[in-house]
This record gives sequence, structure tokens and C-alpha cells, in this order.
Amino acid sequence: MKKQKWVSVFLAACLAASLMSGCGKPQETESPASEGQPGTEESGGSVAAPETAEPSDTIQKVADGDVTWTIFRGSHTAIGTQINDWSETLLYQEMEKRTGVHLECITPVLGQEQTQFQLLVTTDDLPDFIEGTQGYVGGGEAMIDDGLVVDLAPYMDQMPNFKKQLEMSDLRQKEVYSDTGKISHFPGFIENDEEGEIFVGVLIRKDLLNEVGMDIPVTYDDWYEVLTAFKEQCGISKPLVPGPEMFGQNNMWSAGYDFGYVDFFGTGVPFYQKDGTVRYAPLDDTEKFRAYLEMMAKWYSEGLIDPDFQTVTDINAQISTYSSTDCGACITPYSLAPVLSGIGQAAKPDFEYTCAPIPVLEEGQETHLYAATSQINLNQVAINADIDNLELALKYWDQYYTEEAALLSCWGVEGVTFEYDEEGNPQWMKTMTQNEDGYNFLSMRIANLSQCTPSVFERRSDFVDEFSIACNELYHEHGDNAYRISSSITLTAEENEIYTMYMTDILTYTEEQCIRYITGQESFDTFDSFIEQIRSMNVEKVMEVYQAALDRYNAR
Amino acid sequence: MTRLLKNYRQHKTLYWVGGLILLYFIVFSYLPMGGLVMAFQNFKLADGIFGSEFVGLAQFEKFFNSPYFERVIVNTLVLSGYDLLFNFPAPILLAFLLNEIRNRAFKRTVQTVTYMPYFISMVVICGLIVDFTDSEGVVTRLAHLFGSDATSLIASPSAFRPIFIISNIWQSIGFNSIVFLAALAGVDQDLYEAARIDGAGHFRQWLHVTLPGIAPTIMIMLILRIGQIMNVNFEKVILLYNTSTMATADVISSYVYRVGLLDRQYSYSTAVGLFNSVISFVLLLTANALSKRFSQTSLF
Amino acid sequence: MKIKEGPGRKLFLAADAAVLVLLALACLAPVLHTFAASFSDPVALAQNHNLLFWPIGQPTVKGYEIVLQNRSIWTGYLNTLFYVVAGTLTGVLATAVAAFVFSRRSFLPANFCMLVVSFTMLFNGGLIPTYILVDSLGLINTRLSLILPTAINVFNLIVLKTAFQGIPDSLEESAKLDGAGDLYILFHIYLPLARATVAVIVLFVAVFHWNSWFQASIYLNKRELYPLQIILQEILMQGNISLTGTSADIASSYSLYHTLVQYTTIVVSIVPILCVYPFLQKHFTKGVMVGAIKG
Repeated sequence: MKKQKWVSVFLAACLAASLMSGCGKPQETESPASEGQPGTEESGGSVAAPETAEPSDTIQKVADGDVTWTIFRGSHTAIGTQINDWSETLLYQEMEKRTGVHLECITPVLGQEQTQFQLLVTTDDLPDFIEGTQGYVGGGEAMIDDGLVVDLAPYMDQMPNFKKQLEMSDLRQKEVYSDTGKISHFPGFIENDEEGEIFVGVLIRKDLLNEVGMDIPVTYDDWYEVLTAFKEQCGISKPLVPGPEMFGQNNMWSAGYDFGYVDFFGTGVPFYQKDGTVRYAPLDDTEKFRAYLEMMAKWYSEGLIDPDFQTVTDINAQISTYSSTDCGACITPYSLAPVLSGIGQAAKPDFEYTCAPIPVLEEGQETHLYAATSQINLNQVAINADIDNLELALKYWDQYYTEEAALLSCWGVEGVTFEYDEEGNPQWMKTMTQNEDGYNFLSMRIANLSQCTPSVFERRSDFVDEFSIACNELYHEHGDNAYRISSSITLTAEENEIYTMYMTDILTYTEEQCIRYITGQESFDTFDSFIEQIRSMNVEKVMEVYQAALDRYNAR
Repeated sequence: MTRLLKNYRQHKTLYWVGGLILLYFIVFSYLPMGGLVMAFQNFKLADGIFGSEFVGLAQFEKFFNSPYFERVIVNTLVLSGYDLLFNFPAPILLAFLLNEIRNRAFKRTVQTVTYMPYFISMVVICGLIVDFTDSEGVVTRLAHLFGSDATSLIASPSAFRPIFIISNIWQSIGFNSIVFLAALAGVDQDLYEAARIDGAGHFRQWLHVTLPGIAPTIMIMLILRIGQIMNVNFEKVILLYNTSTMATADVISSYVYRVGLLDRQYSYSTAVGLFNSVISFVLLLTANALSKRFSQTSLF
Repeated sequence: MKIKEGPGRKLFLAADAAVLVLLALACLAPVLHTFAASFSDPVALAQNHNLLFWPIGQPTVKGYEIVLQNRSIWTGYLNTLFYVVAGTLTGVLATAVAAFVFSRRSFLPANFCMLVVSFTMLFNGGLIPTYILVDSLGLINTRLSLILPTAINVFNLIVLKTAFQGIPDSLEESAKLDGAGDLYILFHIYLPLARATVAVIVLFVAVFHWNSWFQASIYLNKRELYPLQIILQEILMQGNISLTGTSADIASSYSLYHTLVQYTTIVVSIVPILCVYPFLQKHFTKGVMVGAIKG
């Protein structure tokens, strides 16, 4: 049945194309000769133009089991426990059945993906497909310019399903095309371009709130009262444990002073934008920044902040500190709350964390910060520029954007991983969410449907428990992402050099000084020279560079 | 030249075998050394070593011009200096102490036990250290008894160096003493016998037999250690430092690591590494020359 | 002939023993803690800030279950066993030969060779050039890649050479007079006399291969070749929150057992190596009688 439909579509397309272009070369994708077809050897070389095919809802066969490509994929903790190799996942096996293409996975040691990737580049040994950008300097665009991967933009017409998805919204096109109109990687789309989740939250001890008889605090002044009450009435030594660094988890905390942010962990860029101008918190509004630091310093000196907060840097320390009965509130991924509560209950049976909104200066104020830096899962898969059957490869990956593949990638196979509920919506089966072997949902999902595929996903499929859903809604209620700088902006090579030349030192300096102000090691008399010093470290040059990139992005 | 030829004829096997060994080093160490040229380039992965743009000393300048350049150099030298002062003699002392013990079982047990911490992963050791030195830690409370007013030692810049060095000793004294124990075992027993016959007591035996017996080993280890002065154990620093202690804790390797997180070019870290190597090599040559002059032992 | 031990000596020995006992206890502490923690209740362990001498909470072997039931752990052990044995044999042999040649006073270029070799301790091209080299030798994804490039360690070479230099030349001379070749002298005279140092080198090389992780992580990507440390690292990372993920359910990937498994992996990793030590120990607690080898 499917084959018949395909044949008629194909014939119709040929007819249409021959009418339009006058060249009547038939598509040979189903015949065994297809893999022998001389494909491109050099990047960007055009393929003998086949006709534009129609998008379809179903996955089409691309080969007959006689095509094998290699793909570079990062590892995951599920490998070694639940599966031996990516090719054992349900998704891979199903796609292989349905497309006739076999993918061999090159998977480096967990944690060494970027290093391995770089080494493979130096020895010219890259596999046919590459997942992500693997930290390549300059990102996807540089990968195209350096001849590593294929620019997909010129081939849009050969990928009807991808094209259809891409053109569904302006946002998608803005995020996916680079400043110069290139596409380096197949992206993963989100259905309806739904916003991603904030996954870090402010957690506060519900049981302690009950003890002091207060409500969940909203403003900073509320927080001051609550924390003081925690300290004096409950006698705990760590009413608040902020994150160890200024520009990390603590971005949640400072947002009420009208600062934004871009990244929670690691070496995130601490810039955000207001009305298209790049800002940096200390310089954005020095008055407010000082007020923020002074508030924190006051709280620290009154014992409302954990005196060891800067040492809580690794995961063990965090779990152990946040789950201690001495901890009143913390800033951490909110889905940890049940875990922390579980641990804390061993010492105090009514230990419970709940989500608090981001503190603000005045009630009703909105905050503008966001976690996911793009509404698209950018940079999923790229095609090696030296691949020897580009046309087939394009067709293969195009299949992932069909409705059938989207269902498969997102939810899996009916009866195995999901079931339809009364409204006809897919729901996860118990084997995924409450697995008897004790595997948690995330690793079950990955073991079956290895997350990184360029397809279309429903946000709904990420949520599994009530608590997380509630928390996420809470944070959506009070804010938006107006200050976000999308991660799809790209810096040119020169811009990147400027950024890396100054940024480490600026970050080191700012972090150190801010912590010194908070812990009282430095008096606020030096604040003005602190700001001066930051400026003298060329931060404005770096911001200019970002501004240029942001402007280019906005002009797309 | 003729002397060499004559030498060669007399010791053919030595030359051939020696040549083979040198070949091994040429292949596995000297060939890759060509990559050091990356320090003078703006290395780009796609261009490779031969295709990347040459920028002269730009990468070095980037390092020298950093406002933190002096700080990280000073911190590195100071930490290594203290390590040399305290952590170098410690295993030697341990070896001597063990050597005097008669009871074999006691000696062996102590030996085995002291070398165990070396195998406990750095992450666990540093976790323990942080636990002991944070505001509620056992060691902090001890320090308070002795009059310290730091709320928490691990967040105190002045406490970082002692914490680092003392824990170094704790972790590696046993393992590092093994070399010296072996050297002690290699001292000819007949010499002790001869000394005893001459009426020397324990202390004089130690002074005239033991000490000279392992002096070459000590000197060689010292020279090697001096050559390592620019390398502070980066993993440990990263695990122990935090924003409050950067002033004394941030060393060259941890600083370069943070730069590398933003800038994944190899050129910068190669340049700094080369800088370190040159300084180390100069120090090594000096130490070697001095040792040759004053103790007749030398590396080369 | 025993010398009578005066009170000064006795005091010294007592102080000596006391210091050693204290040191031993200080060194035993983290080891005991690790063993104790590896059997502890994970919840109590996550909360714990103290040094443990005994498992805390309800003892459990769950940590060991997780580690030892891992699919790849036994291949990991076998692989590491291979790398250790093959690596130690090759390494010690190569190092001994090199140390012997460079310690001969009659070998004129010896000093030059030592300079050439010591230089490589300080200067190296780094990750990329070394990888390119290994790749061009065709060693990527082979077991040899973990054995060959690291066969001769300069530090070990120097230590062994120093030991060989400590052996009187007269032994070599008399052996040569008896017609012995260089190799015979190395294997029958020098190695036995320097057995303490050789034992040390064996230990160092074996430990190096046992702990080795980094080379394997860049030269290998076939699971069946992975040594133990890679597998242990994987097991360890399974309980980790992937902090760069963006899923709302991110923390459900945190395993309560993370801390527990951390300790268990250490135990699993160090127990074998601790068992090796006593065998080597006897070689450097005894003195060596040079005279006994003469003749």
C-alpha cells in the first residue's frame, strides 16, 4: 500500500519537474544502483538535480539494507548498563527497519567527546555524520567554512519534510539559518515552538515555613523575614545556601533586580539583552547591582547565608548540604526536590522542599530570565563534507521529519513505550516512568529513544511528575524570556578571539570581588573602583562583539 | 671522533642497543615535539599543524599581558617551593625511620599502610579535606582552639597553602618513600659490618654508611623535583579552590584550564606549557650542574 | 656482632615507633573511611560529613552489586590485567636495558643520551601531535597503543640507572674477564643486585598501567578493549546529574547511590593493587649482600 502511494507520488513529481525544468532524469533512489551513483566528493558541489519530492507523513525506504554510514555520537551513562551501543536502541532498530539504512556509531569514552572529535579532525578521520558541534571553535558555521561539513541550505528542495517543518514558523527559520544563510546541522524542532523549561528553581523548606507560620516569600523583604525567622526560631545554621558563583545558579536570585542571564552552569556567557542591547549585570545598572550585593552582604553578616556557600561546588557537596536539616533554602534544579526531601526525611520525617518564585523587589514585578537558550534543539546532526552519497544522505535525514518519524523519535513504539489515552494523546507507559529494574525515566528514554535526533518533539513528553510540572508553571507565570540572547548567534573568528582574550580574566575578577563584597572581606567603599576596573579589563570591547553578533542575528 | 669509533668497536652491543633506545625516543617523544610549533600559531583544527596561521609570540603575549599573570606564577612557585621544602624530605625521613626498625612485621605493616592513601582517588581525598576544613569541620574547630578567627579554613586564602601541602604529605609520603627504601636496601651490608667492626654506633653508621649510600638517590630525586617546579597538581587545586581562595590558590595550570573552557584552541595552552618547560629545563640544568660540582652525582 | 643498646638508642627507637604508628593511623584513616563508606547506607552517607570507621546506617552491598554486575566490568578487569602484565614486562625490560646501557662508564655517549632522554621529560608536543603519531603508526584502537608509547618512562629510567651506577664496576670487569657478554652481565649480575630498585620499577609501571585511563580514552573507542578504569568511570558517572541537559526531569537521573558507588569503585579498584604490594615488598626490606654474588 505504502509503496504504491510512493510510486504515484514519484511519478507525479517527475512529471511536474520535467515540465518545469525540462530535464527528465528519473530518481533512482530505490534501485541498488543508487549507492553507486557518483555523489559529491567536494563540499558544496551540487548534486545532479533531482526533482523536488513531496513531503510525506510516513517514512520512506531509502535503501535496501546495503548502505552503511558511520556517525559520531556522544556517549551516555545508559551505555554500559542498559545497552552496549547506540545501535541497540529501539529508535535505531526501527529506523533501520523502516529506511533500510544501517548506522554504525562511533562512540568515544564518556566525557571525552570533544577531545576525540578534535583528534579525529586532525587526522582527517571524521565519520559520515557528526552529532552536535563538539565544541568546535566557531560552531557550525565554522565547520562549514573549514570544509568539514555540508551546508544544507542549498539542498532544501531535496528535503521536503525538513523544509516543511522549517517553514512552519519565522522563529524556526531565524534560529536555524546562520547570519550568512547557511545551515550546518539538522536541528530538532519543538512542536508549536513551545518554550523550554526553566529547570533550576528556588527551593524552600515547607516544614520550616509551617513551623514559623509564614507563607512562601515573594519579595526580598519577605525573604529577609522568613530567613531571619528560620534562623532565630528554628535555629538552623544555613537559612539560605546560594550557589557558589555569582553568574551561575545565583542568576535566579538576582533576577528580581531586573537582571537577565543566559546560562546556569559552567562558563556560560553572563550577558543578556534588553531591547536589543547587550548588557552585563554589574554595568547594566551599577546602582541596582550594588544594592543587590549590599543586600547579600547584610544577610551574610547576619548569618542568614551559609558561611560555606562558596565551597559547595561539586554534586556530592550540594546534595549533602541541601538535604541537611540545617538548610532552609537553596537554588538548584527543582526536580531534585523529591530526592533531597527523601534524604532529609531520614533525619527529620516532615522534611520537605517546595518551589518558591524568583524573589522580586516589589510584588507583581515580572522577571525576565530563561533557561533554554533557544526554542530549537540546534545542532543535532551534520553531514561530513566528504560523504560519498550526499543525495541519499539528505534523503535519509529528511525522513526524520516525517510525522511517523516524529512520533517514533519522541514517543517510541505504541505498546512498547507509549499508549494512547482517551483523548488520543500519547502517554508514557509505566515501564518507562516507573521501571521495575529501578532505571529512572531519563535513562529509560535514552536507552530506548536516544535523545539526540533531528526530528519534531512535543515538550509534553518531557514531563513525568506533577511536582516538576507545577514548578515549571510557577516560573512561567511570573516571567518571560525577554532578556534572552539566543544561543544560535555566531561570533566570527576575530570576534571569538576578542571574547576569549578578555573574558576569563573578567569573569575571575568579577566573581572574586563579588564574593568578597558578600562575605564582608571588602568594604563597599571600593565599589566604584571595582566597576572602573571591570571596564578597564575591556569588557566593553567584548560586549561590542556580542552586540555585533546579536545585531546580525536580529537581521536574519 | 676517532675516540668514538674506537669506543664503538669495543662496545658494539652497547652502541646498537643504545641507538635503538634513542630511536624509540625519537619516534615517540621527539617527533610529536614538532607540535610545539602550535605555541606560535593560531592553531585551527581544520588547518592542522602545517596549515595554521603563524603568529609569532602572540599567544605568549596573551599570557604575559593577563592581569593575573604575576599572581599565578607567584602562586605556582610558592606552592612548589613549600612542597619542595616539606614534602620532599618527608618521605626520606620516613624511609630512615623505617630503616631503623628491627621488627619486620611492624615495618612491613607501616610501609603497606602508609602507601595506601596514594590510591584513594583525589576526588574523595579532597572531599574529606573540604569536610574537615569547612566552617563546621574538625580541623577548623581545632584551629579555633589555637586562636584562629577564620570562619572556615577552606575559604581562607591564608590557609590554602598549608592545607594543600600538609594533605600532599599525607597522601604521598608512603608512596614516595618507596624509592628511598629501595635505595636503602641497596646499600652494601658489608659496609655496615665494617663500620661496626671499627666501633661505630648507630648514629655514626647512619652518618657514614647509610647517608652516603643513598645520597646519589636523594640528589637525583632532588634534581628531578626541581625540574617539576612549574607543575602543581592541577586536579587537586581545582578540587580544593573556590572564589574566596583564588588569591593564593590559582596556579598556572588551573588558570589555563579556565581559559581553555572558553577558548578551545590548543595554541594558548601549548604556549604556556612551552613557557613552563623552558623554565623547568633551565632550573633542571642549573640544579644538575650544581649537584655535579658539589656531590659528584648528576643526571647527565 | 650486636652492639649493646644504650638508653639513648632505646628512647630513639620508642620515639621512632610512636611517630610511625601515628603516621600509619593517619594514613589508615582515609582507607578505612573508604571501605566503611562503601558498605554504608546511601542516604546516611549522602548526609555524612565525618570520617567513618564503620559503615553508617544500615550496611548494604548495593554499591558492590551495582559495580560488579555491570556488563563490562569483567572485560574491564581482564583487559587491565593484560595491559598490566604486558605493559610491565615490556616496560621493565626496556627500561632495564636502557638504564644498563646508559650507566656504563665505558659507553662514551652515555651523558649525551641522558640529556636527550631527560629533555623529553619536560618538553612534549601535547595531545594532538602524539595522537597523530600514534594514528600514523596504525595503533589507534589497538591494545599496543596502551603499551608501546609509554613503554620507557624517563623517571624510572633515571632511578634504575642510578641504582646500576651504585654497583661496583669491579663486578662487571671480573665478569668480562670470565668471558661474559653485556646481556649476561645485565641479567645475571646487575638485575639481581639491584633487585630492590627493580621491584620498585615493577611497582611503578604496574601501578601506572592499573590506573591508566587517559590514554585509553583517546586511543580506544571499541568497548571490548576498554580497561577497568574507563568502566569504573562510566559507572561513577551514571549517578551524576548531567548539568548541561535541559530536560525538566534532569534530576531524576541523579542516583541516590552516587556517593556510595563512588566509594565502591575505589575499593574495587585498589584491592587488587594492594594485594600486589606485599609480594614486592620483600625485595626492598632486605639488604643485599654484594659479596654473595661475587665469584
